[in-house]
Amino acid sequence: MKKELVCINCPIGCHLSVDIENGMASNTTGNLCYRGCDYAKQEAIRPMRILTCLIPVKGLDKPLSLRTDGLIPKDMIFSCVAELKNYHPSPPIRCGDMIIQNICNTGCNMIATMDILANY
Amino acid sequence: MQEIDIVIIGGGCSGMSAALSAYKKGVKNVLILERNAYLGGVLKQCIHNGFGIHRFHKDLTGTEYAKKYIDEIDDNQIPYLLETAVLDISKDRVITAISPSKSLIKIQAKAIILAMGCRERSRGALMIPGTRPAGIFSAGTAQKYMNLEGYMVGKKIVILGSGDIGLIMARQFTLEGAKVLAVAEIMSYSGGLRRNIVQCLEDFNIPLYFNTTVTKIEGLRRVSGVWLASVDKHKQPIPSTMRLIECDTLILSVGLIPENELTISAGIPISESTGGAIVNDSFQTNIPGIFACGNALHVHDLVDYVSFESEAAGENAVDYVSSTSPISNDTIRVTEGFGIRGAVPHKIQLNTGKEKVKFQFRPDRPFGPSLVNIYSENECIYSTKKQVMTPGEMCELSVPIKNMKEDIRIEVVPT
Repeated sequence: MKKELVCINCPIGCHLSVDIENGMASNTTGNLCYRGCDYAKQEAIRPMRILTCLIPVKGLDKPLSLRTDGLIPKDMIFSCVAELKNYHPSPPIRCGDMIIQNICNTGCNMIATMDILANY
Repeated sequence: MQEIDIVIIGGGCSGMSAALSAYKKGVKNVLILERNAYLGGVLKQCIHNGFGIHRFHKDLTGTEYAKKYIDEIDDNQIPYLLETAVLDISKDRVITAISPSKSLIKIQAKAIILAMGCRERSRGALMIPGTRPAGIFSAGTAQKYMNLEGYMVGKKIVILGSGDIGLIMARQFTLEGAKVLAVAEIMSYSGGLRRNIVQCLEDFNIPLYFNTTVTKIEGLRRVSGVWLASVDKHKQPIPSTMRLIECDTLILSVGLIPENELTISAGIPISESTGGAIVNDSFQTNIPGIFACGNALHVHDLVDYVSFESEAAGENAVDYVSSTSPISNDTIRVTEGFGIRGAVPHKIQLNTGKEKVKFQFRPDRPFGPSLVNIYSENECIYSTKKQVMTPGEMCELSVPIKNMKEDIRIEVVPT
């Protein structure tokens, strides 16, 4: 089976084509550089994304921003967002603090991307 | 009157970068004036990633990128005043500012760096007819309400304009449980990055309509719908294509304008092409000792480039203050030829000992394979090949000064 993609690595936007067999991608064509090949191989099989989002903080109106500390499968984004809604951490929170370990068994942790100090 | 060597107006990425580089180059008597109650500017509301890939070789969120600079400002004890709005800059570099804690402040600066950033084009600038209900936001305002204040702006959303902020917000609205019904773009291409089209729209099956605009807004107290229409080649709506989309929110992501009221009132000429001050290759404006950088000078795509440019401006301000800046009476102009807009710098000083000048510009439309040529008078002194150029992506060229004799023209030659 062939899959068509447009490369996102630079503004050229190469039109990529990959063969998919037994869940493996091979024979990328249309790419002008190696990045197109790497991108197509992953994107055609299981696209991966960084997730960034907000959760409420106990006792405050203002939200806390979070990110995954690595790439998670795109198809897990909404499960992770749903899981996040169960967490309401309390200040003080420091940028880089781990808020949720191994979210939805993705192997990635959710970490804070801002400081929320007690007197915030 | 307080005397300061270098005063930086604006405490966003640009102002902090300029202050740090000036401080590191040896001028310790610097001061940042920031209108807001915090440093970091718009980065503080950018919770998405994609920042810092060039500057730090890491994929950071905007908040993380800002924190790196804020921490460094604090570690070096670089002074700044918050909630301090600059009211006026005079030609002899006297700054008048006001703040709740210090009331009226007057500062004599040896050098000033203008780093006020940019603001969003508003509904008024677009002149969309219709009622004036609640529920119309610029993308950055919606981003601020959600990320800093914790308010959701709506449930059924239409976005006008496919700039990067609008695309980023489309994804975030979706993750927060809203439905983004459409993104309408009047041009036949997006001004946003390909990465954002894929990861913010296509990932969530959000439709993007090209050659389409909003012709009317409906709703009394709250937006109840917007009319979309396709446009013809003159960008005029085609009446037979008008359709009503029921929604409660309209988000405008229709471009950014460098913020330069202070620049104008100081008598500094503004470039019609960039909307920022006219500067030479040291980022110095027409007033000696006043420099401009970052999004106040011209709108950038990536914060990394704001940092690089502002660091250079900070160093140039140090040279000025310590009287080591190149003095040249031989200045040539830069003009925009076919296909070019937003070129910076606008002037180049010759015979200063500097070897290269860095040009930044955008194509005024998408181009396929083409040459970018630089002419001095009518002689081509530099030429480079481009596979593709789009207005959403700033181009940068480093060109040797030694062949430059007369006025410079940058031009696109499609091949």
